[in-house]
Amino acid sequence: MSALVGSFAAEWLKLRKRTSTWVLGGILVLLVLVLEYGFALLAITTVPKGTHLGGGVTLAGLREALYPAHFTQMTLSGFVSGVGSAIALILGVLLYGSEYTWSTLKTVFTQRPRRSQVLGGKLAALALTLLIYTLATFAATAILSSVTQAAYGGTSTWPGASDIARAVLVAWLISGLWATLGMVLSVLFRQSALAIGLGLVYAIAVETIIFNVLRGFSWMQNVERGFPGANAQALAQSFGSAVRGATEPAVLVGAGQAAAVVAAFLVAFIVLSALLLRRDVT
Amino acid sequence: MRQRPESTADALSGAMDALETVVETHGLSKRYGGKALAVDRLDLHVHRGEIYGFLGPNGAGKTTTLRLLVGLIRPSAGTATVLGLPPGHPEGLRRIGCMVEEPTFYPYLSGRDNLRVVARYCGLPEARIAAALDRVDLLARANDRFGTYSTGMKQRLGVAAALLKDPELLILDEPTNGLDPQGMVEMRTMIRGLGEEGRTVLLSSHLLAEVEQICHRVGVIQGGHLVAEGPLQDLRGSAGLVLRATPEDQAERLLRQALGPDAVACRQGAFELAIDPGRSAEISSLLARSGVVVTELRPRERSLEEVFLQLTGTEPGEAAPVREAVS
Repeated sequence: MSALVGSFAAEWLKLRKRTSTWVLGGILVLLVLVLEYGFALLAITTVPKGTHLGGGVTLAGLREALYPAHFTQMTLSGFVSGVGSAIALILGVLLYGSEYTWSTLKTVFTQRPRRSQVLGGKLAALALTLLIYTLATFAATAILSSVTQAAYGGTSTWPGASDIARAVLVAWLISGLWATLGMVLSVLFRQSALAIGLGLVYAIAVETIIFNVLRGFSWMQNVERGFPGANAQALAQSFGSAVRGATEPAVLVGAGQAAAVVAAFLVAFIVLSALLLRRDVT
Repeated sequence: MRQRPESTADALSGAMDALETVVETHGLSKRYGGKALAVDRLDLHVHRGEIYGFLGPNGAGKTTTLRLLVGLIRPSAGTATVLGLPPGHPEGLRRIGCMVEEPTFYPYLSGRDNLRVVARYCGLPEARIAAALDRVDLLARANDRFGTYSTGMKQRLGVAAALLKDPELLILDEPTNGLDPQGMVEMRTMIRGLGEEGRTVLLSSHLLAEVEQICHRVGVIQGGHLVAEGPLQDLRGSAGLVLRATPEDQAERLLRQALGPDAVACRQGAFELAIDPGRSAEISSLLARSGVVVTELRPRERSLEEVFLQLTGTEPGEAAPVREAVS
């Protein structure tokens, strides 16, 4: 067994047996269902017919968004919201942050693999966990959308397999972006608490609140193009809006460019982690 | 410097020098940030098959040295080789079992799962785990979470993890820390057993009795410096006799005549004789023939504690001669 494969096997055992790994995944699935479907279903069942919900959204348009034809857009919306980024970021932080908290890094680094191989094993285990999160979330939204359509009548129309696969890959890439940001922060600060705190402040305060407030300024779009969260959002928006008639947000960048920027940040976070991991372990 | 007679320790020392050096450092130094040197130009030599005691008071630089040897930290200056490889080299690490400071594992995993993690990192068959747990008497609690273990059990799991690789070299940092007296005895017996199996053990400790009981050779570190290195017998100083007799002046005259003035020293009413302890009967009868009454005659051997206290500066001014004698 090569050192890299052995490292992955060890990391996967640690992640798989850790309760918080699956609690985080469960929270992600639950929050995507509640925020993307729950509130919409509440609006459909409680708001009087014919009411316009603002932004060009009608109740009928909102109901159609909950059907299987749009489940990929709905799920992606959940992944680029604060929920998806926060969960992925926390998982990424736990990957190294806990090693610093428990001082287990010295146990890991005095076995066989090189530090880069340990990092490779961790990234592979992280990628597998995020893929499980992503598939579980898509599966849950697919089931709920199918149930919703069955409840309102009519036959289900599903997106093409390639569209579903592309959406899954995009969600996986976006969650990978936030997870690697969490990882690099935990390695930088050699702990979990500060990394989670600052990571969430960045993801929610900077990338969401500040950018939304300043979006009215033309120069802001140029600034946003260089930020990972804005590009992740642009990538998700390239699948179109799930809600018929809803006002589409301005296109920041094309899907290709957004994917490239997101991937570049992800790689940069990994490289930065690798460099920081060369520091002394005391 | 006093000339020491030929001894078993000398022979052993010579033989050790001819043996393969498993751990070797030259001018090894480590400075953390802008602070003082934690390890200062350390020249350490651990030979294959020996149990080497790395002795020093708290904060002397023992753990920093061990961290350097397993590649957890980089030296500020100097070089080190462990099993012929640079510290932290994967091939070297594969052959080293180590426990630096307290053993650290994942609190949510069982003892067994923690060893599975170690086995996977090392590419070892998991079949070895049960034997390692059995050796440290932890099989019965193997499925309990590490977080629920007592300090002693954590220590034993650390040793089990170190043994999992069937290592040539064991680096153990204060392995009896936190153990009850029974656990300490068991741990020392196990370490002796590991040495008897032909493994090299580098044992860091501030417990003199522990080192005295287990180790073949000792290195003493103080303030980051290696102040002495050698076989225990050499560290204790040359063998001799302690004698009390009356009348003292007559005894002193007779002894100086028979043994030469350099071999006789008088301290606090007792004579320290720098001679082979096997000559005690000869000395006793010499004095008795001249009417001198011998009230005490015993071999002179300093305890490691005395040596340690001198070397680490507790009794300033006496460290240098011992260092000379050792080196």
